[in-house]
Amino acid sequence: MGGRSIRGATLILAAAISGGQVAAQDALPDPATISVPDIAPSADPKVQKEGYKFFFFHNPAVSFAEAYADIAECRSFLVRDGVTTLPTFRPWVEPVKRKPQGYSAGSYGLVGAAMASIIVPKLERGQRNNKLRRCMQPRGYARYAIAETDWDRLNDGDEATLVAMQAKLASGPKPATTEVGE
Amino acid sequence: MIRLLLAGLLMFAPVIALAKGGDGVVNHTTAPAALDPAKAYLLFRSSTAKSGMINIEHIFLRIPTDAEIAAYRSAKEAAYAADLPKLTKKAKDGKPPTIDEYAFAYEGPVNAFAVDAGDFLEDGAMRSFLVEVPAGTYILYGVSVGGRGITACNCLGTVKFAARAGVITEMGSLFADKVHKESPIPHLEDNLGPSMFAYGFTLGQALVPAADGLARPASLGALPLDIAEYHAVGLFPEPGADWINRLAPVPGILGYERGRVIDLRTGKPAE
Repeated sequence: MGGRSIRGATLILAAAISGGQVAAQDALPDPATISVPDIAPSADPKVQKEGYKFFFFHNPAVSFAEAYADIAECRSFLVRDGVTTLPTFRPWVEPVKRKPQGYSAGSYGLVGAAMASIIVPKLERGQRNNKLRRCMQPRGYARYAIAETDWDRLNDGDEATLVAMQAKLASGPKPATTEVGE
Repeated sequence: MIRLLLAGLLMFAPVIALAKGGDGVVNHTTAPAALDPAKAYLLFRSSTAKSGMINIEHIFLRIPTDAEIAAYRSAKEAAYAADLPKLTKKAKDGKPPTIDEYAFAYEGPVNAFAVDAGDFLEDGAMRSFLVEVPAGTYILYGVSVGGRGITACNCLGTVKFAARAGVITEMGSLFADKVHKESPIPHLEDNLGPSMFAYGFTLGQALVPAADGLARPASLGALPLDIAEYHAVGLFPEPGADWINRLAPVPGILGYERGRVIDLRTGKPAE
């Protein structure tokens, strides 16, 4: 938690709970019990080429506990709850959970729905990746490429397990590949 | 191809006919002869960057009063109670969402808004804005493309300031632009990386507080004026934001240390 404000921590925790996320205050798992994907450099050049899309974080200066807290906190910002339209009301002192609206193909029917089905997953992955990058990189984390199937394993499933896996990789041995630069 | 598809998708977004600003927020395009003693006035200059042909606009949040929060909670409790039978019936495990988990659309007065970039007091490379608002404490909340949504919140750190009634609060200058690459707009934390453009732009915002010698519209010269006193604000959630970012560091006011927001007035983590 470091020195983060109590109020901010409370709000983020509350947002995390409301969005099904875990928070840094949760009991710390034993890293020895956590199974993670193999991060040995892939022979497939596509993996490195697509590192800006499929990556994990690593920081040589953090413990597992620090990485767990950082990842839990930053992943709490992934909670997405529809589209906000301004002007609006924000209670500020308590979490907001609005009626999800999501994307709609509107009156464009099947063609619109087909286009949305292509775009939305890519848009959402890009938004989630960028939120994590903006939160994690100032804390000293670099990105390393990983195969898409392994990225899926690190990002799809029970949130507490995802945070634990990512924290183990983030605080583990430095990857043998080069950082993702772009 | 993807960009073409994205452009097509954006066409499907629902048309929103809400007025900008919201309750008690008025952009003055000419200087008032006198100030309303019941209203506060924000004076700032702003960069004029756009995303495509759409203005990039600054979002403000006024910290709600206790009465406003009470009204919000009351409305939420009433809506929850009314919906509970339906929620219980729909719940697969028989457990309806708690009130904290309940998705609630509040129809009451608003306190978060974007300032319409087209309604300015004076034009120029930096446009001057005089915005009439309810008195209170305001947060530089984020940035919006077009002012209808929260494109990027300053969820990773920002500042707040008080605006008194009957007085113009001189905020200094605000800057905003796309920040995945180098921006011509100064003071921003930019050049974050080309892949920070991912089917949408990451926006950033910067503040330069008023300093001695800062020119103000001559038409406001006779009106009472405070200089905004800024204080750092720590991390906050905004689940309606497309992207998250932070206000660029402000010397003497807002700093960052390994992701934590530092109140440079005290040297301590911000609340």
